[in-house]
Amino acid sequence: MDITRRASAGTMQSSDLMVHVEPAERLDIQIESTVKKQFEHLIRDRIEAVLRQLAVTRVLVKVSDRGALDYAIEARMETALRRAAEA
Amino acid sequence: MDKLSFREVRQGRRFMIRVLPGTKLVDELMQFARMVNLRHGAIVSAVGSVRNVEFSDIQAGAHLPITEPRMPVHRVDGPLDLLGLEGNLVPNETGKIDAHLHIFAAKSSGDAIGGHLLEAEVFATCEILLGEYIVEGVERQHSTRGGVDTLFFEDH
Amino acid sequence: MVTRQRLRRTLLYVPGNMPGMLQNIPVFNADGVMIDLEDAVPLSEKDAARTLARNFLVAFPDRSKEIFVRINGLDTKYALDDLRQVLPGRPDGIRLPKADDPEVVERLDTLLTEYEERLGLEIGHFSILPSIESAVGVLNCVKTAQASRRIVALAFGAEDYTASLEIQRTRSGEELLGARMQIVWAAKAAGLQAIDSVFADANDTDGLRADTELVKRLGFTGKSLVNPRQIEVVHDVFRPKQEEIDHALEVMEAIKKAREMGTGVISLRGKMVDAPVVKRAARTIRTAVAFGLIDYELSNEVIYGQE
Repeated sequence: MDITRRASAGTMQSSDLMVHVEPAERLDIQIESTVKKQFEHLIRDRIEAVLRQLAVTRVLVKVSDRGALDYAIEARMETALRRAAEA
Repeated sequence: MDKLSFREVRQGRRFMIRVLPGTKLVDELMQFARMVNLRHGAIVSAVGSVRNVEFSDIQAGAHLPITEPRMPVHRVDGPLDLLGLEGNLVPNETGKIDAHLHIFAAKSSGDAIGGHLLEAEVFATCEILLGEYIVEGVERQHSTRGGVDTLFFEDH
Repeated sequence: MVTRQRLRRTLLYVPGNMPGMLQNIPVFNADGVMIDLEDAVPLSEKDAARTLARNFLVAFPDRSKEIFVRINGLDTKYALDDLRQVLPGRPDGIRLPKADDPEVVERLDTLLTEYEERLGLEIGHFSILPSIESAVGVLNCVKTAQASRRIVALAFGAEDYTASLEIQRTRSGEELLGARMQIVWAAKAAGLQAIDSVFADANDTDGLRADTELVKRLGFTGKSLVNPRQIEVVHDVFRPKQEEIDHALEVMEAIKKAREMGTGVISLRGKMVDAPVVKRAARTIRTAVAFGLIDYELSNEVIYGQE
């Protein structure tokens, strides 16, 4: 799947997260989170898992997380990527 | 002509039949066809009355292939007036005669029911005109695409 | 076929695009929840909501309550994608909006069969909860109730129904009586439960109680809810009262005596007790047992008598 435009998904409500993605030369994941210290690496794992699953290697990902659980992180990430790849 | 296949047929014998009350209509027709060694035939007309009619129809929205969950079976106790029987008798792959029949029957209100006939019991009487057709290389085989049995024409 | 007999007094709507609410589903003590991908989700977020709902269903497989998903109407371009995404998450059933005629329910039935085959599930795994929400829906609901073996109950959608008649909803609800009666008849004639519409004002507890008592009297067995605060009020209305249970137990004792005396009718404090009275008492006891209020062995001989 290749990323052709900017797109985002999610909301700023608690237990949710906002994901912005845009085309880029390489993979760059930036995470802001209310629980950054304890969970940043776990959030990063989930994002990388979705990127692998959708075969996306070059993209800029900016996440602002409000304590979202894994299932929500993966869902918002998938939706943002699909929106950014829509032909 | 790749959308249609056909075979010209010759008229064979013609039979007038009365099926007695309480008889299983489809079974009886098959036995009759075997008895008179009828290979290919079609119902010309059928009237009378039936009960315990079992038939199936195709659900709205179904895609091919049609499989059993897509064809709910209805059962109407009746008795009903038999308005008509449409369909043909053709041998299957093993050469055994096989019928593909659709039934059309009416309640006393005049409302009609109909569908792919599985079995029905003759109520008061059943009068059938059956036409035989002479042809080679036509039989019924299961179509994986359609999911149902259908006519198959060997290329001669 | 999955067993259909379940208590469905309270079915709580949960917006499909809100993780904060989805994650609370295990905590709510409603009998069931309906994850809403339809009116609670704006058009721009339909894709996000169905993906979130699927991920939630996959992440929380063991559930203490029945989970429906309200998909978008089959006449919208969203419904097929809704089904494709959420069914692998194995909700218990699908709430179908705008069930105006039997054919639309039949189409959903056929689609669910296709998914069950693809997912290797038993045919009939997914149940259907059609929602009657328009004049034509009310007129057709007798046949709609019989359109598929998957249907577990008929639901009433008063918001869309009043919109379709271009009338206002009022607190006392006279404008809904005709539709409510037709839906209860259609459901009971088909051996189904009947689920009434939402009471929109979550802060008006008295209004909710009055509305729920009315629909219970008409024959509804449950109600859709928009806010968790409404659960307890509705449970309380549907829970048999202690005096109702005591009376039912007395009826059972009276009919036992009558059977021993070889008669089918007996007087209980001046009131006649015969078969319909006994059946009603048996149902009260069954509901009380289901609520865990009493523990009682109902025997068919006592209820129906021997041949």
